[in-house]
Amino acid sequence: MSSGKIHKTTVRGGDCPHVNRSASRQVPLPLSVLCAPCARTGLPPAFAEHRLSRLTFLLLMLGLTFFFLPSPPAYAWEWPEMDFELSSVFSYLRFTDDYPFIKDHLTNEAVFEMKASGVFPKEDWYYALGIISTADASTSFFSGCAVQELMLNTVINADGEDYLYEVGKEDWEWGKSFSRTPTYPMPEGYFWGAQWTKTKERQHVIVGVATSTDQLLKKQAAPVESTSEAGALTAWLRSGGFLTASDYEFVFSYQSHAQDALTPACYNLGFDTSRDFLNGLAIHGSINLSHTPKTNEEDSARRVDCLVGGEYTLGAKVIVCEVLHQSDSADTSLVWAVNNYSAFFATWQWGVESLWNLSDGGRYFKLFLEYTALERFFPSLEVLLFTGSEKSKISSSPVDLLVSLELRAVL
Amino acid sequence: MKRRSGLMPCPIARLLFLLLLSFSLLLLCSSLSLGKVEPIIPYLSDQAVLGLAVEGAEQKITPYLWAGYDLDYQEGAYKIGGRIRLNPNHTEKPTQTWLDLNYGYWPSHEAAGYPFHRGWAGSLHWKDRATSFKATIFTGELSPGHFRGSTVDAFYQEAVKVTHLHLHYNRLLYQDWKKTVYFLMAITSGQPRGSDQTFSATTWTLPIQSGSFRWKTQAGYITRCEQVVPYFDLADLVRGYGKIVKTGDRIFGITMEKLFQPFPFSDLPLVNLLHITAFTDAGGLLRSGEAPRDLKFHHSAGVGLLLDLGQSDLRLEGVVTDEGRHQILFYLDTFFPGQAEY
Repeated sequence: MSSGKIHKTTVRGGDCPHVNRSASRQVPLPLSVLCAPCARTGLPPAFAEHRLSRLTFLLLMLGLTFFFLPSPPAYAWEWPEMDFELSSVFSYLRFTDDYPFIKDHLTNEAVFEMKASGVFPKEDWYYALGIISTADASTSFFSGCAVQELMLNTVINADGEDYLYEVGKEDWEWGKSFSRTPTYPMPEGYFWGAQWTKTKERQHVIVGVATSTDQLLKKQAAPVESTSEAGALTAWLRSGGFLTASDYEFVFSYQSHAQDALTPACYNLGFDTSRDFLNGLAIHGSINLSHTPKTNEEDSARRVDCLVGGEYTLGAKVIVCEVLHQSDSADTSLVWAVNNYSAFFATWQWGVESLWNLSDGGRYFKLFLEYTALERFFPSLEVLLFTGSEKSKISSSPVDLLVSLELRAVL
Repeated sequence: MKRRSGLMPCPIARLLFLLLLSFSLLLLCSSLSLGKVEPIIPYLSDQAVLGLAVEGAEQKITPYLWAGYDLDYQEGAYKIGGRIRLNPNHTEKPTQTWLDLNYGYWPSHEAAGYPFHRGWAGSLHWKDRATSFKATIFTGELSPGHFRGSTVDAFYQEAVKVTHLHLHYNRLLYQDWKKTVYFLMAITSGQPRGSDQTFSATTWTLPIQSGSFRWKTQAGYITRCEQVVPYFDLADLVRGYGKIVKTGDRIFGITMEKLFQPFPFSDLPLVNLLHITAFTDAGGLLRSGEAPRDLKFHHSAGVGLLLDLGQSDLRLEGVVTDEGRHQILFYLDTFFPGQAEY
């Protein structure tokens, strides 16, 4: 079980333990990942899916061309909204003294993204296509090109009931937790799947299914250990409602073995709730009971993950505090954060986050700073520091300091 | 390896031949009213090509032929292609967009250490008042060159066939009275043909001018593969060092300069453009396998004269390095990048 690093983390492989573009995504590299492919695109390095990558890349370049076409011809269908983003990240990693091979390291990564979205003509289907291309030590823009997101959805209203249909590859995550919602069974990422949502007045029912065949899940470092494996099928049923200033939701989910979609790997039953006191303070809680059936190799197992947290909004600042407990590893973690991410027009956006593992003393601090006053150009700095005793699970990472400087240009 | 023509081994003969060819094309185009002919002036951008650009009449597709001679690498160069304006009334609009497809043997900085590209290049250009962006897909051969006067050859490089994407982003971050800040980001990433290995090169450049002070900060990172070994040269960061004497695949450098204008109100031609300059350069680079804590900075300092020609500066400088090497330099330089088309 992981000691619990903050949810918004992801591990990328290859020679590039770099910073994600968003404000809060970083993690020290496990040694086993140092030579792994970049996990941001979810693709292995150049040797696999070469043709598909090139086709995707062609789509990216075509989209780029059409985007810059100032006066598009009058097509029968509505021209999509298109966004392009180019970012380049330099990262400095300092390794612990116990790490015998190298003391520090410098990496670089470039990411080129395209997102097209719009509505199909004569239909109410909304679509969004996101293509991402990564160049680093192990991938080129060609080989590291992949569809990150492809989503189709529509809302149908009938007899006072709203039905939302979603299909495609997207991030299906739910919950209000700052770190990670225990009832969400999959790791962070984009997965192929489908979801159906029925909403009537203040009640809702959601049924969804997703597969994770194209994700390198074993490279993920989620704070709550996910039972997902590469190739696993995950299905969920969520039902809940909204009250005046609170909400609740029951979640039942099922996950299969990676090799056999019909063989159950585990069942989860969970409950999420939150309440807003309408004075700047809001609290939330989540509990998940997981049952793993007995197999030929292993006995059945049960575990409980629970999270209690709250956030207080003070002007433009948001203060977050959460406690996360995982029964099977007996880990209890405290997550706190202060940021001004809600101040969209601030000249500077900043955030401080930390995770303290109360069980073994491991700590993790993150500082994020971004200058947002330049139009369509965002320089940012992220510093991550890992401390704790040698036995702590956080300190078991070979990296104890990571400094990333990112320049992001939006076209 | 260095490429030499069997017919005209002498660089001057090749230069004369190219000028004669360009002049003939100029006459031909002028007599047939096919388009326009413009000189290609070296060092207006980051290239040192002297030559002529022959362009067809402005239409939806504008063909062109460029031919010239690279003064730094003493190689003839050419490219032939076509340009499609995506917004024909570009002069009335703040943005310009065009597609370009060409074939040629032309100098390029897309893969550091491989100064010449021979092959096909297709690119999309987009430019407004503050930003320019270019995305180029190149497929062809990267060729190493021999910088004039250099005593060291690019011994570990050979011509290699590749396909790569080059992204070039240039942004005017700030401009006010006598204050200008630019940012340049160039990223190249590709693969040798028939190989799964990848190479990439990323550079950041931040030139700042405030009054009579200038700073330029540069950083770069290269990922090599077995066939393609791009490199950064310390001579490009720290004046006074010889070409290809010290190379690496990660660089960081800073240049600081103070300009004095002795005759700002002179009526004599060019005299009011004259500046006295005092500068210092510092830069370090790391080779493959070296850790950041192994970074050792080299530096140099010098004084000289500078003739401000607008887009470029004509410079005459004396410089001494931290290793005690003295050198007199005379060259054209562009402080702010991306100002010219060529």
